[in-house]
Formats: sequence, structure tokens, C-alpha cells
Amino acid sequence: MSQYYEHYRKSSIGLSLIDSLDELIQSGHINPQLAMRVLAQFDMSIADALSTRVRTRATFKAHLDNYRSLDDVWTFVLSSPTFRYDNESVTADKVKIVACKARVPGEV
Amino acid sequence: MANNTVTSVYRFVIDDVITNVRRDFEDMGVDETILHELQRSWENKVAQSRVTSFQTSETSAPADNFPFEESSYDQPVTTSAAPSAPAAPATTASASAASATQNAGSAPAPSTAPPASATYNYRVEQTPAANLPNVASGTLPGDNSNVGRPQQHVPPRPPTSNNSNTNSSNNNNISLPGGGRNGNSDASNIPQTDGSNDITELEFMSTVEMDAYLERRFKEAKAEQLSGQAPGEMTFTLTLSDRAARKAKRDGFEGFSIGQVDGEDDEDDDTGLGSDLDDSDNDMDDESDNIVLCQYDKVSRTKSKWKCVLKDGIMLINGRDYLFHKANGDFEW
Repeated sequence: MSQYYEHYRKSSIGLSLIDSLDELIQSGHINPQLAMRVLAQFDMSIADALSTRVRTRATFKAHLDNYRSLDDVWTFVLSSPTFRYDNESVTADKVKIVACKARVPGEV
Repeated sequence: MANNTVTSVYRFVIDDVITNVRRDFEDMGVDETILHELQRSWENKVAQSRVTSFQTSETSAPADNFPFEESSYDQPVTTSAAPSAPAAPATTASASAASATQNAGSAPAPSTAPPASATYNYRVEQTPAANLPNVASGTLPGDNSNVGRPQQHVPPRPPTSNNSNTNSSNNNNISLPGGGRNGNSDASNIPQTDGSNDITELEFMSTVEMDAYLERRFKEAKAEQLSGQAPGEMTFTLTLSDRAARKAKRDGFEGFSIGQVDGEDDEDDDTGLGSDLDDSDNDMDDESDNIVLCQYDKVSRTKSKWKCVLKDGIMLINGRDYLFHKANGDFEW
């Protein structure tokens, strides 16, 4: 399973899954190994869904506060970004981007 | 709208994960009801996080269009009343199937109806009766609606009798911070516009008086905390007088010092050596609410202009989720 990125687990849907799994572990219904297996499946499913089921394009401009590249992972901290997304535009005061090096899902 | 995409993608992911781990659950000997409990709990949490707008313009749409919001909430709850519910579509389906055999012209009708009722049946029947109390108590929308609300707790005001108490037991006419309002401790007639008095009363105390004063205040504060009254306020005044005491000691009781009117004392802040290494890398690691998780195709920089090509991203911006297949970013450093 290691060929899939795990960083999508920090998304809201991933965190929700982690919470749910945690509750089931706490209540003794499943063991941690099974939870890890579910999360590995989540890594696959979310990568698959994002690459095949999402066609939206976005552009954004921002002031770059801070950046870091470590082990092929870029981290950007942007201030006052403006996202153009479909027809709507979204602004925020701060946003953090965590980007892993792109590769075809499933390939090493 | 983009949020339809988010909803359908999340629906796909949840279903895909649940389908694909069913085998693992079986292999580990975990009952399938647990798997459904996982799905139900996951869907509830996604719905509660409100990262996709299920309630904006689509509120008038039928409940079937809200996989997280409506069906996942209602299904377990209604199951108790519901052996009739799954039965109804089944009978209509069989009835229409029977009629279909009679007149071949209406063949499409049963072919569309059974899948819907079948999935519905499936999910409801798989909900175990044993889980019902648990499910009902844990997931009723009404139960959850109160969770995030702040409790209306107003700390009680400290009784004013404390003021008179300290004043009367005190020969030096020392009043509590804030007592300057009474006008008896301010020799000058300049109106005070910067909040309550902080140190002026304490400046002229001797060390012994100061110690006695602090000890008394400390006891008062303890007594008040024991009786559960306004602990927050008491701590605040305590720290104020503590600061004042330190300042008074530092000034050496020379009988003359300028009252501080420009806010709190800032001289004794530990500034350290100011090395860059002292800064924890907060900018990078602070958990900002807005986060984009994605992959990058290309990151390039010329001078202070950055360009990056990102793909397959989940953005959480201002409490809402957005997904993108590709994104171009222009930053200026």
C-alpha cells in the first residue's frame, strides 16, 4: 500500500474516518491492524476519486509567506490567497498547502 | 455547483472504502454490522463537519439527494418503526413486476424500481437490532444539535462587601485596584481615563505593608475560589498587584515614582537573545484552518515569483471543502 500518499488523511473526510475508526478501536470492536487496513484503502480510494472523478480546475494568487521543500514534499504558507474556482472566487487570510510530488496513482 | 462534486466524490470514496474492506473485515472475523456502524459513523461525521454545503440552494430537493444529511441520519433511527418501510417498496416492486409480465409495454418500470428499493432494503436490514439503542442514543440529530453550543455561564460578580472589608481593616487607606473610582485615593483631580488604578496605591507602601497586603489578598482570593466566586477576576487583580509589588520593589521605595498610565509593565519581559534559532517554526507548523492537500507537477521560481502546477487537491477553505483536478498557483514572496 505504500505507493499511495497518506496525506489526504488530514482532509476533513479522512479525519472523520480516523475518528470513526478510533471510536471502534476504543470500544474494542476492531483492532488497530484492521483500522490501518481501512486507512490504506482510504488512501487508494481518495487518490482514485480525485484523479478520475474531479475535473475542476482552479487558479490562485497569493503572497507567499513561507516555503519548504523536504523529501519531495512542498509546503507553502500563503497569506491573503484568492482562489478562482469554477465561477466562484474564494478568499482567505491564510492557507497552508501541502503538496506531494505527483505521480500516477498506484505507481511506485 | 462545485459542492455537488464534493458530495458525490465523498459518497464514492465512502462506498469504495466500505466495499473494499469488507473482505478484510471477514478475514479478521469482524462482524459485518461493525462495518456498517463504521460507515454510518463516518457519514455522520462528514455531515456534521459541514465542509460541503448540503443545505444551500438544494434544500428543496428530495431527501434522497442528501446522502449524508438525510438518509444516513434517518435510516438507523427509523428502523425501529420500520419493518413496514422496506416491505413497501418490495411489494410495489413485485406488484409492478407482476403487472409487467402481463403487459410487456411497461417493462422499464420494474427495472428502475428494484435497484433503488434493493439498496434501501439492504442497508436497513443490515442494521442489527442489537445496535439500535446505541444507534438511537448516539445519532439522533436532536441530540447532536446542542453539542457545539457554548454554555451560558456568566461568572458572578464579586460581592462589594469585600471592598469595604479591606478598606476598613486597612489603616493606610489602601483600596483595591479599581477603588480609585471612589475618588478617595486620588489626590490629583485629573480624571482617570486608562482603566482602573493599578499601582498608585501601592507605591507608597513599605515592604512589611506590602507583604501583609499581598498575603491578605492571597487569602481572600483563596477564600473566594473555595466559595466558587469569580476565580477569574480574582486572579487578574492578583497578578496586577503582584506586578505592582515587583515594580515597587525595583524602584526601591524612594518615595517618588511616576505612575504608569500606558498599560502594563513591559520592561521585565524576557526578550532573550533574539536569535533566529529561538523562533520555533511556527509559521509552518501552526494548524491553520485553511489547508490544501494536493500533489505537485511543477514548482518553479524566478526571482521572487513562484509558479506551481498542482493536481488532485482537497482544499479546506473557510470551513468548506473544494476539490480540484488541476490548479495553477502564482505566489509572490
